[in-house]
Amino acid sequence: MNWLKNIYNRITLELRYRKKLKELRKRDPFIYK
Amino acid sequence: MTTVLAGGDSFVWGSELKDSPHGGGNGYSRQTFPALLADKYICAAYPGIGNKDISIRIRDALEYKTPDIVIVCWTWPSRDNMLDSDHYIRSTQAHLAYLGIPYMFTCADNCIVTGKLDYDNWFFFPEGTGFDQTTTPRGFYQWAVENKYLVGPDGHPLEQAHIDASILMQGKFNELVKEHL
Repeated sequence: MNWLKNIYNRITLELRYRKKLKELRKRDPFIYK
Repeated sequence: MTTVLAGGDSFVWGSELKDSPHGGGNGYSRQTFPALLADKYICAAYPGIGNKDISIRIRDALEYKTPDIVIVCWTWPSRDNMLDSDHYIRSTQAHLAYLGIPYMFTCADNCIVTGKLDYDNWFFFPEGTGFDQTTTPRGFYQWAVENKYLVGPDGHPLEQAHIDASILMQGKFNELVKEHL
């Protein structure tokens, strides 16, 4: 069952990272300018 | 005669300032805060770039220029799809230390601060006091916008913000240049 735990942990880590990055992007009003 | 090499994004390029005609070769402004601190000015900034490219452009410029001081205004780390830019900042610091060139770093937004770097040679704009202001030391953009300086149609702080920023930075700038002489 360890492999399942690992996948779960990786997915939650990735989701947390994407959420933080999304929040950080909102602070930059000049992106793509 | 103090020669300043400046790195950064559109704030250091001077987008929307009257003397910056375009984003092409030699189109940068001489009315930005690093330019106002300089006697002789070299601009390695470019609009829209991230901290990785800021670091690369500084290194490239140092291949053929020897400034008295380097000023960098770091931008949002999310432009490089990262949560922080410590790696690029640390490598730039190390490269400048190796070359023996003093530097003054600042930022557009204080989200760049992780607390994991040496911030002795950084300049932060004073924290705000209003209820809707940032209560920690700020970056140039935060400071200018929260103090209601005029901005251009695309949102870049205009000339007066740069003039006042250069006045605020003058003390730290003099200290760092003098230390090196």
